[in-house]
Amino acid sequence: MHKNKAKPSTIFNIIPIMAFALLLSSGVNAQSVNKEIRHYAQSEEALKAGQKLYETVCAACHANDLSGGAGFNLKDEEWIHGSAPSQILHNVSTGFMNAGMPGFGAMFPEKKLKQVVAYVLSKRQGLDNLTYKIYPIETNKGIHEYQFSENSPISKSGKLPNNLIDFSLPEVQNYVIEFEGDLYTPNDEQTNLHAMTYRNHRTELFIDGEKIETSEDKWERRVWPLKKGKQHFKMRYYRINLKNNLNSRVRIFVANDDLTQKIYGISVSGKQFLNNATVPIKAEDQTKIQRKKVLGLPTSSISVGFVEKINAAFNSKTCTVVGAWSGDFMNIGPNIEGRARDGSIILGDWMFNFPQQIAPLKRSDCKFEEYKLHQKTVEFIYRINNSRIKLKMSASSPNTLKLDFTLLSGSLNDAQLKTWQLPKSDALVITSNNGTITNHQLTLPKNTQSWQLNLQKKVK
Amino acid sequence: MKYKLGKLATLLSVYCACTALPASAAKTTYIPDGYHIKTIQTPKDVRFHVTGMDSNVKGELFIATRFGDVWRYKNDEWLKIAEGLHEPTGLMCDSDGSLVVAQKPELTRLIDDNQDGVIDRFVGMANDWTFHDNYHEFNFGPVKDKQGNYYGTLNLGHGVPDALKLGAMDSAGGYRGWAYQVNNKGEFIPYATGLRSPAGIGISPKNEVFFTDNQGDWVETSKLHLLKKDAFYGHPVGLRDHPDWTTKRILKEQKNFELFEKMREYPVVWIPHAEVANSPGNPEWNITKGKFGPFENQIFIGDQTQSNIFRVILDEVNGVYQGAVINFINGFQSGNIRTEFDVNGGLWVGQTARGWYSVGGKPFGLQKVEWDGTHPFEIADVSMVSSGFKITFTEALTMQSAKNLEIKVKEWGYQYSNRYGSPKQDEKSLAVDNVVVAKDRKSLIFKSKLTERKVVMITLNGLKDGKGRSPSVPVIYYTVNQVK
Repeated sequence: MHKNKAKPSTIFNIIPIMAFALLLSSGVNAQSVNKEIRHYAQSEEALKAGQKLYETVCAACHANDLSGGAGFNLKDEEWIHGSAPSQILHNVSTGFMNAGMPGFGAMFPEKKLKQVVAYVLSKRQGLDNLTYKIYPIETNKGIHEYQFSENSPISKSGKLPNNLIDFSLPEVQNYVIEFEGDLYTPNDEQTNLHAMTYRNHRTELFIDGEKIETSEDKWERRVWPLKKGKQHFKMRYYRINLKNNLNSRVRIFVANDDLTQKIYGISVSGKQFLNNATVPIKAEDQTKIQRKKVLGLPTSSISVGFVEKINAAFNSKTCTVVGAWSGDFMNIGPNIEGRARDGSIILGDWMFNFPQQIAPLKRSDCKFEEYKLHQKTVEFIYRINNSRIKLKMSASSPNTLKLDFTLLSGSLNDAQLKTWQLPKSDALVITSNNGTITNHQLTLPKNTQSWQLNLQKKVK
Repeated sequence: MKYKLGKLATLLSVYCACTALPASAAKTTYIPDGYHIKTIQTPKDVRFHVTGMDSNVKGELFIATRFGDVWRYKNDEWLKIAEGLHEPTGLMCDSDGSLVVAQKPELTRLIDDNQDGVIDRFVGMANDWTFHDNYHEFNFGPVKDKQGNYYGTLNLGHGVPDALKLGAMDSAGGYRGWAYQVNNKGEFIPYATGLRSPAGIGISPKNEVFFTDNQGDWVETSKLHLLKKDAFYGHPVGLRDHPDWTTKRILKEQKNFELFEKMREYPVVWIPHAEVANSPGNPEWNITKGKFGPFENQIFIGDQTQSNIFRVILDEVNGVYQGAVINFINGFQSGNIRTEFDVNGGLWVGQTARGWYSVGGKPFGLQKVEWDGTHPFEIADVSMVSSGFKITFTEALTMQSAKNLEIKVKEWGYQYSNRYGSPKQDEKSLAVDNVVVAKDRKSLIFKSKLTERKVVMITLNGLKDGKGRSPSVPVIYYTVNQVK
């Protein structure tokens, strides 16, 4: 879980690793380790400790959100080297030197590593222990009339080691296929199962043994609510007397509460779709601009990413600053894959976002004129009433954004620009060189021609 | 922590599942003699869905991709000149050297201030419509007329919350389903409404703006229209932004197809569904002065679904446009959405198939149709004469073929309603009378009983030229708006 190559091992740290690995190899001990780590996974304090160590040591290779980078994704369904807590702990302790991951057993106490494993497991997503059963069906009945019995003969069944729902398994025309396993969903948000299919398909979902009704059933949008955390999952899919095989590309996802974000795919084509929909845009060597749809920003926003790893968004309809975030720029994948239904996702943390904004208190119609891109800055020019304004955005550090406003023509009074509304946010402090800020409002002195706002991210 | 080989195996299996799905490469089953399709290599590892394309007088090609980039192709080299736009679906080289790009939220002028080839300044020309961040709310265009006015078309939405919907497509207001003009003073003018998925706009050498619309709800089959100020083109949800209408009134009249029928403009040509096209792109005039062969002044349009190109021959009868649709070439690699003639007479074909199926199978690309100078044997021209048609050929028929040729004529109409497309209505064969082949055997005239507001399908069997060739496409679809 470390990006840099490990220092050469010495005799002093090889011995404890070996001893630890030996201990884990005993079945009895593995069970007690599993129990202990699962216990940590229930403890907020242990999870916090695990998160802290993860972010310090592991995130460099595996990403802050565990989605992977130089190292593998640590939250998806794929745990080929073993998904049991004791197996993961063993791998963390001994490492994979050939793959560039050192063993951490010598570097950190066992308790800390167990907490890291507990934290990683608490972020687990997707299916586990997935199996399938195929029931060949002979009937003249229509797909929606057919009564299925679990006593029907099974032609094929088995495990799905990649833990993805796979519709290419059946080799018969008419069948019911059942997928069963454990489904992990986020503990901290309400999610839905979203199948991009429609009514002609017959799909049934059982969670913890109970049949779940759809909360929405439209074209490409068949939705069932899910529970939080680990749950028993069974999905039954019917293909009976259909002319065409409609199912082979059914994309199934776990999506967020309002279905604006597909969090991860749980079918082969769903996972493939999200792989294709992962297109991170980073401001590596120059300022980047994106006009894409972005989750958390209003329509018609122009997003700017600075090489300092701080970002902001200007809205071309309202001529206001509608968001700022720290970290990398954005993943535009969801907005350029398939029909591009979904919004891009920022890769960092919001400092503020719409409806919080930097805007004149008295709103008037604005006319966006242009933006100009420089290596380190972006200039927006717009009109409010009879005043023409230039806003230059720049960054001076990963924590500081500078907004330089210049009145190109007109006056502050004409444009009612004397008082500005500023965002209310615990994540940043705003200062101004020549205005007064009180109660999240900026007041500019008479005859101001230019003014500056500094947005400073609060460092935790 | 994980076993690398396992991960690779999974990726491979996912990859194989995906790549096995698209249809295998489409075959070319019709292409005129002397023409070929050339595939242009697009920049490596770039999602190059070509949805905006134009060339300038210097022969440089500019392309806007759905990814949001703008590229220049010059001397067989690609240069990315802009990025970060929002799914542009139109690009035009303006006379001052700037580019005008239609992206979803804005019509934008791209300016290279320091003349290094890369765009520095992005100037908003218009954003006066409402974009609801919906995937289907495309902004197509622009074209510019001789007076310096720009034109674009705004797609309806699909699945926009709280929108007005009377079929499949919807409008939550803000000029969705409208054509617009940005006049030479820079003002945004809502120009006409009733559009559905108007994916292609073009301007004729006579300074008239035309646009295509895709088959679907309230659109019986795809069509080509002449753009007229204040006209209504058939899809009622755009009327919600019309000063004489309200949403309430539209809902009240939603089944009153007769009312909307009376209000609407009839297309210049109907484009028969599947036989010719499902999702046509922009109309592009061949004014290459013979550099593209014998089809001068004809309109070339690509189809995103069928991966083909068809031509349209305009005919004016009683002051009304109508004309013929003839398939030209099929078997392109992906969905043809943009066509562009360059100064050398090459026909560039921009392609995308993301989110919408195309026969070609490939997700995106760029191809070019070139003519090698060989004179083809094809239908050259079609026009209405008194109670019949005159059909001209690029080469003379043989005596034998002129004697033995067989002309079959069918006609049909379409039913206008809120349904998704219309089957052919009242399809029947028409008698063919008084066939007269001209002395030079390069044209013929025949009579038939023609009716207004029908598509007439003419099939010519047995045509041969002196080299023993038959036309690659012997079928004409003529839209009869007026009868002579």
